[in-house]
Amino acid sequence: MTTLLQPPATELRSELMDRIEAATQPDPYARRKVRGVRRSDALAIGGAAVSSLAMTNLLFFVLTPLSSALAFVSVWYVAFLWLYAVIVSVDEPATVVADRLVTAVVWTLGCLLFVALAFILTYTVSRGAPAMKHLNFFTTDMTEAGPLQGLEVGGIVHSVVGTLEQISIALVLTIPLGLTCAVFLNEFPSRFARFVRTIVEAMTALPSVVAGLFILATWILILGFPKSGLAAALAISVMMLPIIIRAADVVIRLVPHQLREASYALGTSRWKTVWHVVLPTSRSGLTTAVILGAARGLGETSPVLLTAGYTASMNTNPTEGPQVSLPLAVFTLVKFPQQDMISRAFGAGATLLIVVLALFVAARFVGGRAPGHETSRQRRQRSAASARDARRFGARAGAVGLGLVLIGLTLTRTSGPAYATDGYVPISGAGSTWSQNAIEQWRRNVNQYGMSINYQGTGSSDGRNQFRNGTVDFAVSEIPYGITDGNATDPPPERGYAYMPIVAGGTAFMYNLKIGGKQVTNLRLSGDVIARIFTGGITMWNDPAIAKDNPQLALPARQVVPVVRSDGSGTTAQFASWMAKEHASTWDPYCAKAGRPTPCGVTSFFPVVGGSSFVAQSGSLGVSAFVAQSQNEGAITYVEYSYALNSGFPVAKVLNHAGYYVEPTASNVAVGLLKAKINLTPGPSYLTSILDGVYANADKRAYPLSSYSYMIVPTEVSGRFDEDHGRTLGAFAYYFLCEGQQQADVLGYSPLPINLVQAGLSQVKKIPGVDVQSVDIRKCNNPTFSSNGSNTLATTAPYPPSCDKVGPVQCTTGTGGKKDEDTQPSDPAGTTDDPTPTPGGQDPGDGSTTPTTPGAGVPTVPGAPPGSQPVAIDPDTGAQVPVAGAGDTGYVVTGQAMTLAAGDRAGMNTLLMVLGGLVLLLAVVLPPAVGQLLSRRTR
Amino acid sequence: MARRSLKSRPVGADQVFRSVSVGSGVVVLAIMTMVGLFLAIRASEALRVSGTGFVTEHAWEPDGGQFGIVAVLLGTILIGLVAITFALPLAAGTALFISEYAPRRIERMLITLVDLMAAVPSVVFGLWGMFFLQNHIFTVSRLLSTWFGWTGVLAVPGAHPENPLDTVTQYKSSTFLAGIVVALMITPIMCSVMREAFSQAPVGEREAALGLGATRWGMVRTVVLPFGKGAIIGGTMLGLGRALGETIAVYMIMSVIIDIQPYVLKSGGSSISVLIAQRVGDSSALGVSALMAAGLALFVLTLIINFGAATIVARSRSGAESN
Repeated sequence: MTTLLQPPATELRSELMDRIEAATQPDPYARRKVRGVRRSDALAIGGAAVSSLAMTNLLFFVLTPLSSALAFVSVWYVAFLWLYAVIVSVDEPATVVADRLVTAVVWTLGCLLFVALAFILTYTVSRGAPAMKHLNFFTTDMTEAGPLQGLEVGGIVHSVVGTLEQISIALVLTIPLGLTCAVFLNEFPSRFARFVRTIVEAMTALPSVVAGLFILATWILILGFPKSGLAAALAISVMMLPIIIRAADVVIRLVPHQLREASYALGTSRWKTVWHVVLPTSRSGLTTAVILGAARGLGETSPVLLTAGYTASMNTNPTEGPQVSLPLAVFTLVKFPQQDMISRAFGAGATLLIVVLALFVAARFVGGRAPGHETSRQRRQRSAASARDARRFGARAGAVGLGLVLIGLTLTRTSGPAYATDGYVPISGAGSTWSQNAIEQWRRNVNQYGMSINYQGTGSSDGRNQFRNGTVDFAVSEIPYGITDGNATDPPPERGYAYMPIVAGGTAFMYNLKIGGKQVTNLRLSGDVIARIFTGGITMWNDPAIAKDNPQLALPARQVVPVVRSDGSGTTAQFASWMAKEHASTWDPYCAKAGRPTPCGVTSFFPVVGGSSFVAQSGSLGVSAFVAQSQNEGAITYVEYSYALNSGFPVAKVLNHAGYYVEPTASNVAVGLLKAKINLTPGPSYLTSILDGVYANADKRAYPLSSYSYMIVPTEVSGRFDEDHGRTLGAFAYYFLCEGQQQADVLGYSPLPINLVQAGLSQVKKIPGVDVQSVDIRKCNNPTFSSNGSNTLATTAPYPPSCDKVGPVQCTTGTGGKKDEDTQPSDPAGTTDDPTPTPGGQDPGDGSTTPTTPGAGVPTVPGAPPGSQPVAIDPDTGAQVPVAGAGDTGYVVTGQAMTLAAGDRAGMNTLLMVLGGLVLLLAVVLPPAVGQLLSRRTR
Repeated sequence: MARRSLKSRPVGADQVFRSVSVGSGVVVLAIMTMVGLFLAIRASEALRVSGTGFVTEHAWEPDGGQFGIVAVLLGTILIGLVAITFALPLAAGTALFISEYAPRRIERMLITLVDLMAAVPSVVFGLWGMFFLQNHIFTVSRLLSTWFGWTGVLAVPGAHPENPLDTVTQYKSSTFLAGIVVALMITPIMCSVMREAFSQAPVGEREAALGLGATRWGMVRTVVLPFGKGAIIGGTMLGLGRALGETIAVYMIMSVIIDIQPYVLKSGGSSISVLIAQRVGDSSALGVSALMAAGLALFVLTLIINFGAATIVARSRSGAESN
């Protein structure tokens, strides 16, 4: 019986068919993929990207002279979008093409932001890594570390402590007040509450710098408190309070009103409802708001900048003395030109980022989610709390204690910097950056004696102002009070004061210039040329006036960029004083052009004419750091000699009245200052100097712009300055007037002559509270001292070599920070020689003298007379410079490949190349477009 | 029968609570008013000296009686405008990306990342701008000024781009560079405001658009963007307000010259907050009052912009449904 043993063939076939159908057709109950990327989509994107890359490559490296990386990426992106649209349009209608394009653009924008964020974070951490690698970075402060010391010394622990203290005080002040106010706004709605809310919202717009200005004007200037961490914390609180109130207000308003009403229905009072229902419900949001407000306040620099002062040492007492915070440390450290200091600045920035990130993570973790949503941890906590409540209701325990634990441990008097057994207290000063390098070195040296000196280099005008307002114990300034600057006269302080000279030095002209890729180190400038440079009269380095001073240098046709001080500066005042005395005919018209009243005279604010190529930077560090950047070729500035030494850059030799070009070494400055007239009549101007004779000093060694720097000390107790401060200031003065002068030469200054040291020592006696010491001058080891009263440094000063005299020969030795590097003379074009083609050069005789294609080597000048010495051509100017031949011990000038920005010089060439690019584009795009058009038509 | 009083008299503890709360409101109001009044009083001292010259003069010499905010206000507004030009597309694009295009799983992480970017301190942005961006963006400035200099605003007078020796310093420390750095600072805030609104676009309308056959972009264009229009404008104005008050990053990057400088690509520029931060130490008492007047002007400008933003957001569809 076949039917019983085997199913019929038709059934077999249908079962087979069923199986085949089941295998080939999708399961109706399986999840259908609604989203998802088809293979064709991925291939479209990939194909568009690769082909656009290839096309851009072709356009850039073969056809056209465009060169920058950014242009490459932009053209690639635009080409990618274009090609992607074309590829998609083959299959899909126009709406889908638009959709895909927008998707690509939105993805790009989104990724761009996150990539930028990641890049900024990694850049900061990687630049700060050299400093952060050392453990001392996190455990020491900057007392011992100077700008010339390596990263094994110094750290930022003082700013970390300062930040934590300031933000804690700010939180203690703002959280209770802010939360209570937010509760008030929500629980007691009325016209008054609406008014308060409007005012609070308005105050969130207050710029943080204005908050700092407010605290400066009231707390510090009117109420007379010192610049301290507490002042900074107050400024941060003023800024943070409206932000916290508004954030808390929003969170509390989100609590559902049904919860409140349920609580009232159960018979509780208002405050119990708030305490047990409203606040716990909004607790997560409140925590997030508070922590984010704290992160915002932590990162604020401008309020702290105005109110906290600056110190390099640890100060754990926020009520007394300046205190640094992390953002302020970053801002200050980054001004130095030395790489180590910049690494420290980045390290401080990275530390700040880590602190902010930690707070952020804490906010997310502790805060949890919005009201109504719970994390599993919060659910567990809630059930545990309910169990506890059940037990409590059962046991009828006693009253719950309200405990509010304040974080205000720092409000109690904590110890400030250690009081040495000698009874020195920390003192602070501010003012000139001209003498700051010397003061910083002396400050570090007296640390071992227990003296803690804080000095803020903010410019002489600021120092005089602060001394007048009584916010600092001493000021340092190059010019005295009472000078009329433009329309304002600088009034002297109310309390008694005296001037004390601290050091001498020269205002040098630091510059950044290269010939043939090699740094110029022997530039000479006469006074008239300098005056014209800094009044915009000379704008190019190859000006004939500069060439007259430098007959053996083939200076490039590069723009002169004068860098001037933007703040109120004693260096500017010294420079202006020299200009006004020696070159008034150039100075006065320039001042008039800048809108100042004439005759111009001395000014602490360098006048700048709008639209000029002048660059203004703040502080001596700012101007020297600007010139020291390698791309800022052509920059020149006026700054004290020590800054050029520290940056490793040369200074220009200045022509004196004897016809010699000299640089401001300690001996040349000492010679120059022999002609300074010191005011010896007792009175407020005792010991100030008149430098007219110095400018015109006819000694061959004299440097014209030599000057003294003064410390302004109080002669009576007033305000915060008491006898303890006086004792410390007096001890510091005794140190630098005697032993400190030994280091002046090495630091880039010139030691004081004996008459000024003696006069200074007698001024010290006027400081109230000073421990009068009888100093044996002979033990001071001051290089200027001699037995017969003459200035030894000046008498033994070496005379300048004859090549420094005005004439056709120029000394090759370097100056300033580049003393060891000579600059060989570059022969002027046409006096020698055989042009040898340098590697990669073009064929001589093609007639073109300027390079037109990128990547070209050094072009050669055809037609130069044959000679004996081979030369190469400076790629910048086309002038000929000598090349070391056999037996020459000079240097070899090599050409550098230069890629030039595209200009419209070779108009026809560019046009042809762009046309070629367009043709290429059409060749790529046209066939598929035509094919699509045809297929559409036949459909 | 005597009328029963329906008012409830607060119990002892509640009275204390009420007085403490109202007291805190009074204290906060007093502090804010004191700040405002003090600024106004000190500023008026300076304004008495300058008269109407305050809004027409472009120099800043308080001791000479000639000071005005024209130059610094122009500089501040230029920085704000450059910042908004870069921040608006970036913020709107990122907000759309997070709410519409990003995979759902990473949405929360992206929102956290944006909030994190808002918390990065401005000194860090200043550092990055000073050391990295300044050395790389001058090629862009040179390109823009060469090809688009005819627009006037993008010109750099005094530049000779065809000269290979032309100095690059005239493109550095410019308003353009400061504007880019400030743009990165304000983008996260703007992005949060916009994203909140976009994510609240009604689901019914979205699905209706999709059901009618719109592509995702079509749905976004017709539903999400009109719904979030108020938030886009409000967020932009909020960002602008923040950009106008930014001090430290601008201070670190720009070379400050107090003069009318309308060329954004050229080095030099100014801003009211940088003027205050820089000049407060060098100024006499009258100078500090003048700085306060400038700060007050900035405050009023930011206030107007913030209130405008709040009004626009509140009046929009997205604002009406949220707080």
